[in-house]
Amino acid sequence: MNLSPVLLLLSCVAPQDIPERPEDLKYAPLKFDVPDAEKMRAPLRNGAAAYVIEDRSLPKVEITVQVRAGSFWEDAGKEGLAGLCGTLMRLGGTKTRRPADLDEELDFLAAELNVSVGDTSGSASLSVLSKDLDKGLEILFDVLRNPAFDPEKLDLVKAQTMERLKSRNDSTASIEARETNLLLYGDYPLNKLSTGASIESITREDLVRFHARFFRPWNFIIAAAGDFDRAVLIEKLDRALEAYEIPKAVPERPRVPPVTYAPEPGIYCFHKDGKNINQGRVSAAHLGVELHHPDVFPLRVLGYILGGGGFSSRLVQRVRTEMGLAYEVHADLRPGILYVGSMRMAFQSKNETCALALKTCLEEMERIRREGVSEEELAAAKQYFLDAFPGLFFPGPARTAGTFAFAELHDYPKGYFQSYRERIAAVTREDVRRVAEERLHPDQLVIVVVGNISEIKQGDGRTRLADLGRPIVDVPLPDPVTLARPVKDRKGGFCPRCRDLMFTADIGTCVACGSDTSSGGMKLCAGCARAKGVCQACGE
Amino acid sequence: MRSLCLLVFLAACAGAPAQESRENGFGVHLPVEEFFLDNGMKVLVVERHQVPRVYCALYWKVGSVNERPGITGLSHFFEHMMFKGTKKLGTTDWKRDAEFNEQIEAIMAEVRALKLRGLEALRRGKPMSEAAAQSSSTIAKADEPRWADLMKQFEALKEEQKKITIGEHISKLFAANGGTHTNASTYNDWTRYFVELPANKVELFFWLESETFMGPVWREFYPEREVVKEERRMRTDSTPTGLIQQQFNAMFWQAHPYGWPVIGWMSDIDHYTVAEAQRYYDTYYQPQNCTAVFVGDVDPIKIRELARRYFGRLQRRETQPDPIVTQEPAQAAEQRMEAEADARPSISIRWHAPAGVHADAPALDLLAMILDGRTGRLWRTLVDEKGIALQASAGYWALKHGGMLYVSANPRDPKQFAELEAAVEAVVRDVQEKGVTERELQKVKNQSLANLVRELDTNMGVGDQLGLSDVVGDWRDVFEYVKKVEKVTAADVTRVAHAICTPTGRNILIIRRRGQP
Repeated sequence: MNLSPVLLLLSCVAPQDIPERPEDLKYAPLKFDVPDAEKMRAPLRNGAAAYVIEDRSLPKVEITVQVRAGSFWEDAGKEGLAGLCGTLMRLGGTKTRRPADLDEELDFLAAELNVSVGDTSGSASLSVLSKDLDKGLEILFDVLRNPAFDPEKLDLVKAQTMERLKSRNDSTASIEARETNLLLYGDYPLNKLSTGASIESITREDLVRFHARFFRPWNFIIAAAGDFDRAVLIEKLDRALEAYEIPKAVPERPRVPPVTYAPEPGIYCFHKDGKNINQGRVSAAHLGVELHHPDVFPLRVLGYILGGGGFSSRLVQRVRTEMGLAYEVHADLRPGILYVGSMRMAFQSKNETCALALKTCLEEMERIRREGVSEEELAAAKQYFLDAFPGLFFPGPARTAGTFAFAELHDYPKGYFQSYRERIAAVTREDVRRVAEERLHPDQLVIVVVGNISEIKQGDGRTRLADLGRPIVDVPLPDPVTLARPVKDRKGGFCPRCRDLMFTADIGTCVACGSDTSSGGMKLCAGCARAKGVCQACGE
Repeated sequence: MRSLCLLVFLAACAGAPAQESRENGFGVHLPVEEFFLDNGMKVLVVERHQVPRVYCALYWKVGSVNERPGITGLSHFFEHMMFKGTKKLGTTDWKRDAEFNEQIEAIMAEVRALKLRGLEALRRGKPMSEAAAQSSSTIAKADEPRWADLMKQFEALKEEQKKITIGEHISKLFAANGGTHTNASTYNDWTRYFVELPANKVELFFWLESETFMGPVWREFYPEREVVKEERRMRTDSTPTGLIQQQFNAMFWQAHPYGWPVIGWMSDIDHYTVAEAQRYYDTYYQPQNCTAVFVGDVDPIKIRELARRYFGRLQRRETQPDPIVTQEPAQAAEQRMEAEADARPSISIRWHAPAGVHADAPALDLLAMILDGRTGRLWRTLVDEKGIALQASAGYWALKHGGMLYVSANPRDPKQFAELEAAVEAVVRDVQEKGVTERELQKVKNQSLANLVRELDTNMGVGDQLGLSDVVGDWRDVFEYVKKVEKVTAADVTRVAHAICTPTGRNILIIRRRGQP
């Protein structure tokens, strides 16, 4: 880097030029145009599309094929199939490549190829040096089109999966995540949890069928960025899609059903054994909104101020900074993408102060509903979203292409990114106050507590869990592999929807005969449920 | 002051001679500008204009390795305190704030005296306060009323001080100006503070960070101690294997300061004092001990000017850091630990290895890569051929003053630990006795280069490569390393495998699932 002496002279500024306060700093305006998705988009053969960005800064190429597929569409009894399908596409070889040869070929090229399938979407991604692009692309599409699902590899992956199932209750974090979803979403497909039996039952034919149903060009949105000529790459992708059979009519992407489950508010306690567990993990959540909801932008701002904005948020300020009760505390009011999301607050605190920290979080939720937010808080939150915008969605070519591909696959509202900053800028204090009042429901919170429950219930001597005035339900942990929970009275029948409600609780009353049921969460006593042939928990 | 523009050619793969691959290969153009301030602070700038964002970071040559028993974890706690503000930041009235801090110090000095008496009571087996134990403090039962009274006074002062405190002021200012990833992290050898800012607001970083490191005010010191205790409970105490890993690490390092946890022992956290923190600041937080790194949409001339204007104000001091002289003695006997946990059964074996800047590090790195991965020796043998493991991996953990080579595997049948251990040993012995193939070597060389290219994908990735190399050696090592890797021969790999993987040098950790045979 050559510096001209003239420039050096000009740039010498005396130390007194440091403003007294950081607020006094003057900044040039930031120019950032939202990348034009339409210009990047290339329609491809057979209903696929790609977002392609040429970027010559590094000698590599990143290509991700995103696909609408996931555990949401698994058949009952085959839970775990979607995940296994992704893993086996990568590990099980192809019709012309044995698994070991495929791995060796990729490793020698120092290429990375990953396939994974989650709950509503999956992806196959390739990272390859640009000199090996053609080879990499050929392998990527071989894996996408011709997976062999080698039976030996299926056995291995099943064994690995069984080992993971056994670990389900190992950490308080995994318990909290699972139980919160079960309590919030009930029988919604989000909770298709695999068991030892469901994993065992999955056959190679199941994988073949699942793959054939979802891994089709009409279900692909591709993101590509890197060291290539854009027109040439588009041509290559198009040629790769040529080999697929042309469908008579392009089918619709699989649909995600609406959430209809009505969660039961309360404090649900899950005892985790272990003398080392000196910290409890707590979350408080209720169902929220979905991306197309008109309130998502005021909710973003509200969520940031309540507990989404890290150190700028009220929860961190009170629970962590002022009270020293937690290292990690946050709130998340972001919308769900294809289905209704959850709005939650969560923290970890030593057993004795979980109740106090929870009380404080609940107070903050009530307070923000009652008082709204200040002008300063609003301004700071909005400025964060406005200034951080390029970094949040478009920090580099690969992420930019990925952002647009994800948005298309997930049916984002039209012009979502184009209007993002305007819609943030338009949020008023009144908007925030209104959504706080209308969308936050402290009375509906499902609170999950995991840890040493007896210590947590006792609290610090001043605040006990029972002081929060909410029903407390002790729920035994399920067997990690079968997910069956020990119950006091196993005689009553449970429908699959209520399988996960099989916990012991307070005494309740049977709606049919008026007798005490074994559990307050149940509609019917075991006798009436058996006599009517209905589910004891929900009466259906 | 000098500047440097580096054009790095990463040699291409597939066994082509170096010269030829240079021509046919691919180049990474990474212009790094380096300059020094008069006070000794080093500044590195890399221009990347794709997005109007800039990664701004300070890398300091201080970490848990610089601590001693009694103040373990102080480097990390100090990092937390660097977000608490100064006279100008974090308070609306610094004079009253200073008065509060002084009053709080007086009370906490007495609390500290009680804690020391508590330690003595504990030593003598006297009854202890349960209330204090809740916050992992040692107070004798007999002193509990006085302790409770002092804590009440402290709480009252804290409430009063709160009225003039602007909590988390620094983080809030970064966020309200579009800062993302605002954070800091502490490791054994270094501490880094970083944020990504919009390109037009880089000056905010200079203002806030130069102000912070010119003179911290020890505000909210005691509540933050409790926050760090919670962090320890979260990361170590309450995780399935946190305490076991901590103990294994302490066993592995006999003499070296790497043996204590970066977050510190709980009893040490409870005893941190303002005086120790100040001493730490005076010793380690001097400008010549820091490398500032800026990567992104920047003008290097502007950065140079800002650095001079703002960071030029930091003062060098008389106190010099103590050099790290302790050498890890050669292990005289194999060490073994068997544990039970709510965790997947696993076996790990560690050997001591040289530091990351050592001449043998590239060969070691390649050795680890030859063992690691789905096509690596361990997986191929243990998972694919013998079918006795569910997975297997290996790695070389390079630190400033030493390192380790480790392998680990999860047994397919938890009753067959002995068989698995023998098989792991056999894989290592095979490398020692029969060596590695040219193709294997070329494969991991290709991967080593590709990994570096991928690391350079983000501004932060570039910043970390340069900054982290610089605080343990020199940022140029990033590029020198590429050349060194290219020169490693199969014989080098065998040689380091012999030197490092010795029977007496083994450290074995076996974790069985609790309640399982």
